[in-house]
Amino acid sequence: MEEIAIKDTRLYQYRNFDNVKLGFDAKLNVVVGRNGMGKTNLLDSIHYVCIGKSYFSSGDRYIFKDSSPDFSLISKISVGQADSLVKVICKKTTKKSLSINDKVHDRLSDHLGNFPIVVVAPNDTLLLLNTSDERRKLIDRSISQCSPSYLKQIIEYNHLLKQRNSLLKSSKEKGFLNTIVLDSISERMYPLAMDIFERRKSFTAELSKNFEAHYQKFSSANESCSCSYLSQLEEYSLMELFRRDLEKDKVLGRTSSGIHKDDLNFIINDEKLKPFASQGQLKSFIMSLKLAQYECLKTNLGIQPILILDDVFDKLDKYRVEDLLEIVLGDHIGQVFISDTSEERIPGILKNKQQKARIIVVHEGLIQNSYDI
Amino acid sequence: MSMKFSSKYLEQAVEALSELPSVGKKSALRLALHLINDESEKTKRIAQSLITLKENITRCKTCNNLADTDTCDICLSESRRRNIICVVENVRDVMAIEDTQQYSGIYHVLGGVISPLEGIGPEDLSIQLLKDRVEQGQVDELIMGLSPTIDGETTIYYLSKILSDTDVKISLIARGVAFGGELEYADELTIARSIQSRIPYLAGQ
Repeated sequence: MEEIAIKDTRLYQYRNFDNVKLGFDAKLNVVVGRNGMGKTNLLDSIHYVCIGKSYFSSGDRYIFKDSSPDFSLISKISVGQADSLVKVICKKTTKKSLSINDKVHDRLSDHLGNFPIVVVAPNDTLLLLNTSDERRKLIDRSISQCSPSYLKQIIEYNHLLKQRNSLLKSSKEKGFLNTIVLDSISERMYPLAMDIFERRKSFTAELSKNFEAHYQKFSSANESCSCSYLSQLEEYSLMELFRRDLEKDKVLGRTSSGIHKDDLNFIINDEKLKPFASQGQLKSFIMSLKLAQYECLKTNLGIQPILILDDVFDKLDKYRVEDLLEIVLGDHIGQVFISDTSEERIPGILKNKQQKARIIVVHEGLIQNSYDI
Repeated sequence: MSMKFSSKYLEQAVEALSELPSVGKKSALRLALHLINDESEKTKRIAQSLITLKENITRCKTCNNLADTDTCDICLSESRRRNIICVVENVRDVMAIEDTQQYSGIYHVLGGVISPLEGIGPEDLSIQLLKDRVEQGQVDELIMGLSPTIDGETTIYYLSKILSDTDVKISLIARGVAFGGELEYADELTIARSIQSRIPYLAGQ
């Protein structure tokens, strides 16, 4: 198992950071500061250098500090014995450039999987919303870190899906559908859908196994849980679905079935987990799921991913904080980044445990203090 | 960006030049100033040649390539093999293949690829013309010289479907590791494809 650690990073014009350079501990880093000071921004910059994009924003345009024309991130990351220098340079006017040891990666997919990372954040409760987007994103993010070709398949499928929808929509307006063009698009989606389905299925099986094991540890009550993959492709092939729904699709002007409708189903005590589950259940659920994701990435890549815990300690009582710290400090987890609003709480617990860590105090986009305990 | 012009003529010329692709306001200004300062007949020559081009250029009625008369030089040439047609997206692709001097067949220029998103359907491309050519029976092989993009592949798929009732052989230009490229830097998909569609090795080739 190879260890991966961010050694240091420099943020230039990144969100509310002007120009900051800081080093990290190989195991545990705790970012503290009041709300709105830049803790999440700092953690997001770690995700950015590892994956090539932000975890929290959907586009780079939100990242530029004030009216700055560019931003950059430079990080030294060690994997095993080797150090890599990752540079992200993003200008408003040109395409962003991402390089490792000065070798430019043209495509984001070339970068994925080199530096695996798992993020736990407050907005993870979105996973329980009615729409399935977030749940598919969780699966897709995980599999594409393990296999760059998966991301390409997803991009290709989505492109063909857009073409298909656009054809259906314009045909609805024109009152004429060129079925040979439709079939040409559909039949090319078919092998992609098969592959994506198989990969999602086997990944979810692995995720589910790990999820159940973790959930047992987290929930104090003896609750049963499971997570299963739902796909229309379980029963029908994509071509059968397309044929079945053709008339419907023509009326709707879009594609109503396919792997873009896949979902994950979370069951706790024989009931579907809802967004209004108890706080305890929610927290146990999210932590278990993320640690399961961590486990899957680790086994598939042979690297211990980086773990980011943004603001998850907030509403936990002292005992739960200690329990959670105990877990992430274990040997089975690699480098960890934690953020917390209290300057004393986590450092206090760590001192009692005589646990080494780097404490980083963030104040209004500046590193006010950085010390080891 | 707004520019302050001392001359209305200059402003109009800059506006006109910057309508061209990949010419911004600044480049347009530089070009216009260059023409002002030039004392030869350059401006007239350029303007005249553009007008002549626009008024006289036409499409080859056989292959849809650009031509001066209703049949292009390639289709007219005696030395070309007429039983092989290379299907390409646009005129630039014809020129790229011609530059290699390795191809002795003739061409068919589609004028684009099928993309419902951009409102391009088969009827917007010279697909019927290609079908007619094939159905006349003189063609043994169609080489699909389209770019290996998602829409390029869809178009190839479409063509193979509408030509499936003819006995023309359809082949695809090889895709794989670039010549002079290094294997380790090629992406996963390209390498996988290169392995799948490997070719027999002929010594001395």
